[in-house]
Amino acid sequence: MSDEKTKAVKRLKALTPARIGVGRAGTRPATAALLSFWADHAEARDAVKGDLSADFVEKFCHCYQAVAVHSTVQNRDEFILFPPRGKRLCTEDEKMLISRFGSDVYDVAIIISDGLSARAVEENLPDLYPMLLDGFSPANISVSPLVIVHHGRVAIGDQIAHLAGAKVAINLIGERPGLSCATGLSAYITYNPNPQTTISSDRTVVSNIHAGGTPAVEAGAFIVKVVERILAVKVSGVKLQAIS
Amino acid sequence: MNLADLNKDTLLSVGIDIGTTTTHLVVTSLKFSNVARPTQINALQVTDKEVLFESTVYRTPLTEAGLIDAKAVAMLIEQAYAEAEAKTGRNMKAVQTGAVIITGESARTRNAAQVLEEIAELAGEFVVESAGPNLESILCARGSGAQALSKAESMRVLNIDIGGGTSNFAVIDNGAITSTAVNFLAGRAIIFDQGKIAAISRAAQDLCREKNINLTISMCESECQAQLSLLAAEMAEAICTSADNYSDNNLDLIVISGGVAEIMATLSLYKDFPSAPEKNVEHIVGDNPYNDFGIYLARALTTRLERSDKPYSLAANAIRATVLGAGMHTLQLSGSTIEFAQESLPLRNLPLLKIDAKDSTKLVANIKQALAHKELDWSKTPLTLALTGLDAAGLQYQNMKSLAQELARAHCDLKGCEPLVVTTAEDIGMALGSLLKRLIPDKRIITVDGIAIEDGDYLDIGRPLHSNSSSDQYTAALPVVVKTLIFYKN
Repeated sequence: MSDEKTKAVKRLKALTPARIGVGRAGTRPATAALLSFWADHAEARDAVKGDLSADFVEKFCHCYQAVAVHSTVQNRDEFILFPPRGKRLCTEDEKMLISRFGSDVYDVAIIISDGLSARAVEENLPDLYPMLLDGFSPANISVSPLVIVHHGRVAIGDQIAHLAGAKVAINLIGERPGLSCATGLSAYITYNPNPQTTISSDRTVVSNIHAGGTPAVEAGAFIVKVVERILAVKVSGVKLQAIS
Repeated sequence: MNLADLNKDTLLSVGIDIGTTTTHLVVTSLKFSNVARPTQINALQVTDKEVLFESTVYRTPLTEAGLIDAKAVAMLIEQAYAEAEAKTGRNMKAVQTGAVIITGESARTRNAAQVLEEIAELAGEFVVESAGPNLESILCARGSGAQALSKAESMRVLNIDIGGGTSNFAVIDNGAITSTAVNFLAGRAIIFDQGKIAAISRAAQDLCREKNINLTISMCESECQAQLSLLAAEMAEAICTSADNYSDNNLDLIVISGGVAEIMATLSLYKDFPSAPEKNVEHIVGDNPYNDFGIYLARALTTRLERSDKPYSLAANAIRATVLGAGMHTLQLSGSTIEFAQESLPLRNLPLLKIDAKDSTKLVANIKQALAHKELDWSKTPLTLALTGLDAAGLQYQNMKSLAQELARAHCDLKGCEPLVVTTAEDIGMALGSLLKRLIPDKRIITVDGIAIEDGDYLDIGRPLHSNSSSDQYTAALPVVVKTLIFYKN
């Protein structure tokens, strides 16, 4: 390739993390490109298969008086094979949460779920969670005790928030990893969450939270504004979009 | 105009160029919309630009003393506004943004401020006034299409806008304007009156002296053709040498715009018709309507560029490069998650202080140093702190918090004026804003992100823009203009 073309390809490659201009050797990918593909793929698989580290859970439980719970799933393979089982709490933890929440009511319940990337949770939450607390406290928005879910999917947030008697559920959950990013986090926000009635379109989503997308601190500040608005207008999801 | 054009997703923008030789304006419509994917946080961008009206190119009215006639210019613009209203059906009172640029040598005349004052009220709410040729260089490069070309083709392009009073240079690397410069070799180097030389610019006098060219006031134009051509050739040579210097002799393309490029385009048009009375200036471009050196320079420059091996092109709509740039390319839109005290906007001419924020423990000292360097008193002048040097670690919660604490401390210790204005390139405006608000709740705070400030002296911030296509009400973008002062290179 001429110098000029190499330069142009370099500039194009700088615009995207996608695998463009990787070259080839005969009919096969070049070794370097193949290795980096394998590495990224391995990283994505690790993110999906990985559990939340004991360190992280312990630190959060210690700093923020969080409590760790499990869905009905026993292990990671079952979690991936049977998605509905990750949407409900195991009976034991459900009972435990009921007694922990007691009869108090809250404006907001914050739930942290590993989802499909425990790494996303570990990388973003230490910066995102304190931003939420900093935002809610001066606005006099009450927050229920923090819950960390092992093997949790989106809907489990609604169940937990419902148990807490919270008006709004915020489920901060690791996104399905891609080949260019394994640490993306999303926030699923539901007004009046109820596992019997809540459907996907009731949830407002803030996605793409990671170092290469919306930084965790900024996402935290933004989620506070979204929740303030949801509490004011008493709807979320597509209904919120319709009145905005 | 249909109703859709009146929705809140467009900005009516005006560009007014008051040059050494000519004055004209354009009215454009800037459409902005949310370019983020669903579920991602809104991102507003200008997505479409449309020219609605181009005025006649008027001669800049001057007073006896050679100054710009402020009142006459204001009248011209009023007249052009009326014409624009009649043609577009838009109410020109609704102009929201744009720029009035006093360009070229006239920017150096003493009454630039007075001219801007005359026009300011007329022009519109967030219309930037500027007499700085550095901004002009940038606007020319955008208005001429050179920047878009550089970006699309991944090229290093030099835009040279040759007007009446100045030549403005801008180097554009892969779409980014990397440096600008200006000199005074331009079309109004010599002014003729009734066939005689009536005035010679200082730059032209210097060049004549240096190259031993005998040209003096009141010589007959027809009798000194040889000297005039010689001066034109030397001037073209000097412009090309400057071009090499400014661009380190490393270029893919030179784009020429401005009034002189307009003449060059006309000349090249006639070249294709061999029967046209070639070389007879009077016949080729009418009778030298501006009675100046532009025609000579255009011919010499064409010859000089043809001789060199460097590829060059003339900008389409060359004479309007500045005005198009002023109308369509002055503002940047900030990121959409930001914090702003609405009642403080718009803000104009905020001195810009670049502050290294990598180590927040040094922030107060860095701010003090920058204030001392620019000889500014924060308690008297509201200003902008442009934070630089933030890395991944800087965006962590603990570090953001100490940054906010140090900013609040600096603002209190130094008795800074309100509003406290902070800009960053990184997407942290809302986070920093809300942290600051907790610390100093009764102060007005503006934190704007997504604004890359390379080299600037002043900042203007307009009123917030919301988009119809945005899915929420808590995001908005602010139009921001960074203005720079000239740096001369010889």
